[in-house]
Amino acid sequence: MIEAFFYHVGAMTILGGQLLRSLRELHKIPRLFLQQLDRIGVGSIPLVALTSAFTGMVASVQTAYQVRDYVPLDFLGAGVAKAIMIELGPVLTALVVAGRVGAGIAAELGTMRVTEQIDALEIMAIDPVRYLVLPRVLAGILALPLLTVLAEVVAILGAAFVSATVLNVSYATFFHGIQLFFLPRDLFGGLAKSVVFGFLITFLGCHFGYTSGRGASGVGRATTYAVVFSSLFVLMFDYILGTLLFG
Amino acid sequence: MIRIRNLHKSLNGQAVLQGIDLEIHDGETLAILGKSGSGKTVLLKHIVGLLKPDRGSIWVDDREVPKLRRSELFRLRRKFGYVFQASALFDSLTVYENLALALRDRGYPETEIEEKIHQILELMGLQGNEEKYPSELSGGMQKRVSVARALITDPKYLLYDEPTAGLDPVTAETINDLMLSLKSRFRVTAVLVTHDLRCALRVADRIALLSGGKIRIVVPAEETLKIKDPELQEFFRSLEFRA
Repeated sequence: MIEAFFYHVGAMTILGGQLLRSLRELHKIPRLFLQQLDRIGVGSIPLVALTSAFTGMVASVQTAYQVRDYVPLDFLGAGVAKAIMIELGPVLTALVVAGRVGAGIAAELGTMRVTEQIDALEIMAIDPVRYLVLPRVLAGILALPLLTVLAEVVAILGAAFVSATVLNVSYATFFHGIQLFFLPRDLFGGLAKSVVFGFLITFLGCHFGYTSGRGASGVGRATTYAVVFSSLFVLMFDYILGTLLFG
Repeated sequence: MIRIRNLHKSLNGQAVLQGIDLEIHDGETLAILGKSGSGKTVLLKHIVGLLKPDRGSIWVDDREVPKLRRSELFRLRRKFGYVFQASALFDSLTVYENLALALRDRGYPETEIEEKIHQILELMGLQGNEEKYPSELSGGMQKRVSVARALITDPKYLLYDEPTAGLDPVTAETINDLMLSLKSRFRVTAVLVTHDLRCALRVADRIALLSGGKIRIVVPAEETLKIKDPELQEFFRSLEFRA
């Protein structure tokens, strides 16, 4: 266990160093970057939108239930929107993407490792870190904030819909509440978190795929680790960044 | 020229290579013969710097491979073509994209890439398969694409890892013919690791026997059948059996 911990810390440090060095050849990856942006970003839109709609709806119901005895529901929009921008939007988007994208990256790179395709890249003098890891990590860093914005918009619309139809808080009142207490820092703080989450998910997916063990079981383990550890790291960094940004 | 001196390597606590000494001269084809698990692939991977030795070293064109920095190693690897035992084609890319990958990375113009791919596919007898994915090809065709991918960058050194393994005898002979024609046409320095003596005898100029982690014998191919070595005799018997 301790040995595995140090092995992964060491391997991640080396991969991180190689990733930084590969930035020098950024000009060679625009096509690969766009491909990954499509897979990670565009491909995640339906799942993120659906998850966010229900998250916004349930957030509205739950907030109303918790505060209705001592806060007028005119402020429901403010409370829900803040929770969505600061916490729910970035974190839930990250967890959904970790499950979908982190696992996919680890499985893809793991299979490439097992079938010697990564060795083939090495021998063809194509740096596998630049070819495989860099486009994915950069696409993750860009896609996550964009997906988070989408998630927040959909979640707020979902919350407004439930407020108007179930809780008798009109759309105008709901959005007026958001306007009253809106702080740019809430939005940008949440987006800053999602940039870090985008890096964590794609980097950990790449790391576990890149260091995958032999055979189908090795790839399976890599995929599981990628999802488990990226979810764990998202929650850990959510606390750390939340404290730094909003504490 | 490739020089290997006193090369030792253990994997998972088991000594695989125990002091390999070998020289591969420019322009020759050397076959390294050995049983499965004797360390042939491990030796090949040391030559291109995919594995680092525990002891000893490898020189390619007087550059000591294990001591090269990553960027220098990538520069050296541009001199190599490598045919993997299991082909190792990129399964998410078409045949054309597999062949174009290294050329695009080296900045070749698209027109030249297209021309080179057309020529190499014709040489390999693979015309018309450009848009197919590796999973749509037979084992023999995959192997030929793998050879094409190794050759397309005009390497100085060509390394074959069990090129006929897993192929039926007829397809294996086709691959042997292909290696022979490449040898006479391109005069690349080639290292062929195999447990198939028939393949080694047909293609190689010299044959080295790898056994017990060491090179036991290195002989000109035409003299191999005269050598009275018990392990080589085992390979001869397999040849008689197949014949």
